[in-house]
Amino acid sequence: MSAKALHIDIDRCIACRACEVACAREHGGSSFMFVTTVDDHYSVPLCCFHCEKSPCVNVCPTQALEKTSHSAVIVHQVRCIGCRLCTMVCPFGVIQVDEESKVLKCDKCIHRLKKGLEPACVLTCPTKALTYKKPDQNTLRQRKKSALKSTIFTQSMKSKHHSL
Amino acid sequence: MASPHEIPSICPNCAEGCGFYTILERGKVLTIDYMKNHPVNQGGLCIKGNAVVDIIDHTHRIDSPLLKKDDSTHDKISWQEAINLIATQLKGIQRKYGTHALAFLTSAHSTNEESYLLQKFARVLGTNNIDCTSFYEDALGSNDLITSLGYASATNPFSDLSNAKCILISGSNFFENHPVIAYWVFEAKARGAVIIYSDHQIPPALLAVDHFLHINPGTQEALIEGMMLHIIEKNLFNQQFITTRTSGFEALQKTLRKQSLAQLEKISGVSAGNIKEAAECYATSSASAIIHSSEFNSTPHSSTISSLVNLTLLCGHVGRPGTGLMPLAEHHNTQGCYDMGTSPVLLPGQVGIHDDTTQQGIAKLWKVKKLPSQKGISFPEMAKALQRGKIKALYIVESDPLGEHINAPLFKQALKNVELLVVQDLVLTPTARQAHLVLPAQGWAEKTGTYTNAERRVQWQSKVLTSPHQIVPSWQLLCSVARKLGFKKQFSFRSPEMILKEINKIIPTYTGISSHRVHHIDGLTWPCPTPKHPGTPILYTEHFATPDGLGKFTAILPKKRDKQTKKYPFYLTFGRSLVSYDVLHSRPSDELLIEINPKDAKKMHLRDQSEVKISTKLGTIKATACVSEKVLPGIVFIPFLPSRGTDHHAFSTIDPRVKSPELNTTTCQVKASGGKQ
Repeated sequence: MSAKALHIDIDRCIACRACEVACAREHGGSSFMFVTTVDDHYSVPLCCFHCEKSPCVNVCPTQALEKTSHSAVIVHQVRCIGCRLCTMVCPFGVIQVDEESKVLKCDKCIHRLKKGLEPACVLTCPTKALTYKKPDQNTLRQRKKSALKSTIFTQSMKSKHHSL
Repeated sequence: MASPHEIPSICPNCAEGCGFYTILERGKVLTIDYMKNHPVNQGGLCIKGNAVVDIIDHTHRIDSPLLKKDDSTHDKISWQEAINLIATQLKGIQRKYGTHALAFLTSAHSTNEESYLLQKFARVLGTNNIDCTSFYEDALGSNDLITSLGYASATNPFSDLSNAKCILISGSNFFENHPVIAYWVFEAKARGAVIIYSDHQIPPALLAVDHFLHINPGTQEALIEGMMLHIIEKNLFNQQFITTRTSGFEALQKTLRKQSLAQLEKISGVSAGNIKEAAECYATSSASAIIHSSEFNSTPHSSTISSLVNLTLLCGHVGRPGTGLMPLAEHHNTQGCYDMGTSPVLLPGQVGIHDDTTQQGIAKLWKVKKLPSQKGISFPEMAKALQRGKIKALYIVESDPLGEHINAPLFKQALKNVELLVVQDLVLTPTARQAHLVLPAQGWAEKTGTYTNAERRVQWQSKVLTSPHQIVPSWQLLCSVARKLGFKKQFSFRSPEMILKEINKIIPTYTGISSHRVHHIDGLTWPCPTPKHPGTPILYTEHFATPDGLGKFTAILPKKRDKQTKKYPFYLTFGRSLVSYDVLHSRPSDELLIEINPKDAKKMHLRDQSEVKISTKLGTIKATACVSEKVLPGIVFIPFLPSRGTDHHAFSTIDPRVKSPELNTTTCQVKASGGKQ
């Protein structure tokens, strides 16, 4: 049984940045969530996706990054030597290093997950663009959306034929 | 009490009234958590909602009443001294200049009980000089709503938007200002609804919008009338609904006949094809809803709301699930303030001050001979009234006119004419600095009472925290002052619950809204006319709340507006931005920012953060330009409130009907002013 994962419904992101603020609030001031805008018209909330074959975990020379319970990639600050290799291999650019070379990354709100609560970014998202579900539930939601789109399209094509 | 516990709370920021839990430990606020079963926000909170804790811990809170000594220093005095001082001064001024020399201002931060009590105080003293600064932006819309439908409020609950098959969003910055409501729009879309969005700015969630109608600023009604013209021409209107439930359709048709789609196309900037398509979507769907996100009045003699009401009535899209009209107010308890009658023209229950039966009924319950019948001075008119020396005592509760009034310098100058200025607020705002007497106010977490959100949902806010420094609640303070002035019977309240009981008696739509019933997370939606009534989420299912029960069409013609000229090639528009919002969110600097399209910026050789000068027919201001794709070419957008500028003449035109500022029709010129270029 695969663990729950964060899912982003890109159509629903309105760049309100509530997730960033909630993340910062939950983690004492720094946000691990990055609402990244494209052309000022579109936006994608990006954070660590806790990859199954995590490049950051693989390259870390001191095992400071570890895949732990709840399928979360967690950084152990004591073991981190500040080499920044993880920031170089992360395909999404969501691992950051602060001025003291401390690695900052999403911890999947593991302290909340352990209490049975969902991550803060997911709960705060006003439009539910962020959801935290089993992967199959997420793909089901995506399929439903796409099915709806195609039926609307066929309907509109039909009505156009009628009017012709 | 040692382990953390949670208290259900209502977000104090905007009129949506989102719910969340405040987590406390040992009497201190630890953090907040999300209320997944709240009927408005389903747990979601926007940026402002996530920052509520910061408001509690504001470092500059006033902790005791302050008496002004000279321009820069204040002396701490006791609460009793403050109460005595207000009572004697008010009495003296009333005797010397008459009752109409007293004026009261409140804001949407007040609970229903506080608002109710303040207007009762003003009216028992004998004046209608009471207003709420939060009505500034949408006063007109609400008056029009009362005339044509009966109540100034949204017709359907937010969650009901998800039942709509077509949603027309009219107005400015909907997604930025109301992210929580966007959820219900997305839910509707997930069920196949068509989303039509009209604005002069490109929305940040363009992917969600099926038809984006890019209109010229301030031309909403031209677009709506274009839609109506097409609906009538194609016979897509709801004849049965018009015949049985409305009046005034012939007059509307008459004025519409004078218009042509070509002309409206030119005014609004939307092609006739797009207007037609939007009209057909709205008219032919089985349930269409309209969201009007009002910021400022879009045009002088603004009639956007009336146009939207016309469109709703024309197609009969009201009184059923998934339909209706949803005007969204900006501030927390705006709806509640309207209902409580903190208005120069409305009594509690949204009834005009000249309605004899209501007036007599209220006078009887308040045990006074009669209520004042002279129209009060509204907030926008106040600067002039102060200047002419008409107001001698001004009592302000949690609002900052010097930060919000369109003509702040004039207002500041005019404040010198008052003999008593009392300001109650959390921090020393610019207005509080001018006050003779400053009173500390309770923050949202310290108050107890009800708030009414924009969908008429009355919710109870329990006390989360005990006020630091024994701040006297404003209702208690007002009761003490009133009793000193001889109104012992009228102000014998010992708790907010007792005030709510009186509200139940005074306002027919609030009759069943008792404190134990609204303690439930879902609250209660008015009209709730009996103690066991379940509330009325959807209004006007059978008839409208107008005297004859019919919905009224309003015949209107689009007004002339300034045209872009060589001298003033830009339309100037205003709006709130995502973060800076209100007095509680301390403003970073006094710098005025404008947003401008990259194409325009390139033409004028402006870079991001260039210093510029904007000039209109009336004056010039300095500003910093931010280059943004969000603003369309030919438009200059000013986030924040305009009183931040240095020269306010540029913006001080006043709407003759509601006396609120006209902000979306001016044209302007932008020029680089050296500096950081």
